Amino acid sequence: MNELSPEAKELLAAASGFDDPSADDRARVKRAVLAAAAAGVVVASGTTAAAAAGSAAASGTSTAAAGSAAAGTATTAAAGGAVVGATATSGAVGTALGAKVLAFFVVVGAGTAVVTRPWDEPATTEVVASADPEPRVAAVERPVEARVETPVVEEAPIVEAPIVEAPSVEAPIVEVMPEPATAVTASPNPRPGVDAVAEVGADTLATELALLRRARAAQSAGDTADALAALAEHRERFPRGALSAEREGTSALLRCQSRPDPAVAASFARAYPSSPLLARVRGACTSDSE
Amino acid sequence: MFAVVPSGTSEEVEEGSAPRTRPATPSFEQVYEEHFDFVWRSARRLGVADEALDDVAQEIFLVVHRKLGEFEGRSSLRTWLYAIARRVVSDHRRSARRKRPHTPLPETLSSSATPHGDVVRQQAASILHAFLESLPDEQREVFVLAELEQMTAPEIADATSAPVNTVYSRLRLARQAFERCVTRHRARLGRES
Repeated sequence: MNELSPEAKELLAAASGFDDPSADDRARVKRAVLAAAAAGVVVASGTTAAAAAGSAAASGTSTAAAGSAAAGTATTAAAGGAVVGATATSGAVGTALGAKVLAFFVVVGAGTAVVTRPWDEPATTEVVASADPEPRVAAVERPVEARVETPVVEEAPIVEAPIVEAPSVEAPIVEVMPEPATAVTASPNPRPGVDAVAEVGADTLATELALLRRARAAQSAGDTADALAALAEHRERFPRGALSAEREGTSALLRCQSRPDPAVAASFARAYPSSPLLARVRGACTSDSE
Repeated sequence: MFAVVPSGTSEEVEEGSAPRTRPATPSFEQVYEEHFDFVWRSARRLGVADEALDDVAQEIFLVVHRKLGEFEGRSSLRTWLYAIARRVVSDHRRSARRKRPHTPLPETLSSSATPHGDVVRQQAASILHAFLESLPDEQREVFVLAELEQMTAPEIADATSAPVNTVYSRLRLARQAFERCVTRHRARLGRES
């Protein structure tokens, strides 16, 4: 190969560094990536749980029959997770924002016991009661063959993790379907996921995510105080965390749940003008006044 | 994140407990910190407009996040990353072209307080970007990787899925074009000064 002339090299050298990102660029994109990836995880699990509940209900399984159903459903649920996961992240760039919006809607929905699926499934609204994707101790009695499909539990690859998320499938089926109230006791109490997730390499994002999940679980159990406490803890530990926008968005949703207040939405909009949650917050905080 | 941190803590990781011959996959954090600049620069030099860079970089790293566990170390991390970046950039440019034309960098820059060195750099960058924009895509990326990122031809071949000989010939053509560009600008700058 011929080398470039000294003059050409000089021009290249002169231009060097121009295309580099600033520290701010680096941090900003990182936050966005982590938030979107985190949303992807919860989307996959939320859908998984919803799909599982749906399948179980459709096949009329009782607790006793759930053994085989769990194994069978895992695949269905996994497929559901995969679809959503893909939507959340691998869409064309132009639609990325939309996908993220969708993603976070489910994040929000996942904790609230009622998971709605606005995409391709039949319009079902399942009472999932505990869509928390963390595998529970309560699911111990689940059949062995179902476990086989779940080689890695905590390390769920963010988006492509449908199979990995499968364990969450069984818990709702076995525990939740017959008696939603049982799940309520299961979900809000033990700060779901915080400890378990923190084990995974002391991952900051995982901890952030766990706190948000805890907030959602508490909210779904009607425990607004605990939900706000979890958000406050997140605020204190991760004031500028990757999921700050999600935290404040969730907080705004919580506050407007009891009393819609446009000022809350306005304040959120000022702080996070590009948050995918903004539309939802506006919707909740302006309520019927629009 | 969860996928990429090699962890033997979970008792359900069956194959993870066996010793592996290949080096451990770096964590997403490591990859991000070490290579974000490269990815960002590459996207820019492949023609992503400034206002779309955030989205494109984000998209690239979401793919990285998702696929890092699949990275097998057969290629260098940089070539692997580049292969992802070029796909995302290519998709982006295809859709961006449909929407509106690429906005070129400003030729002159409005900055009263900009030090002279920055002005020179911006002008050089401006010339470089205009040049890159004029190249066919396949020459453009080879030029960027070879001359600006100092990748070797085999690495570029790997990153762009092209035979090494093709890489060489693309690079030769791009270099010739760049020399012509430099000559033109020298003439112009000579007239100006």
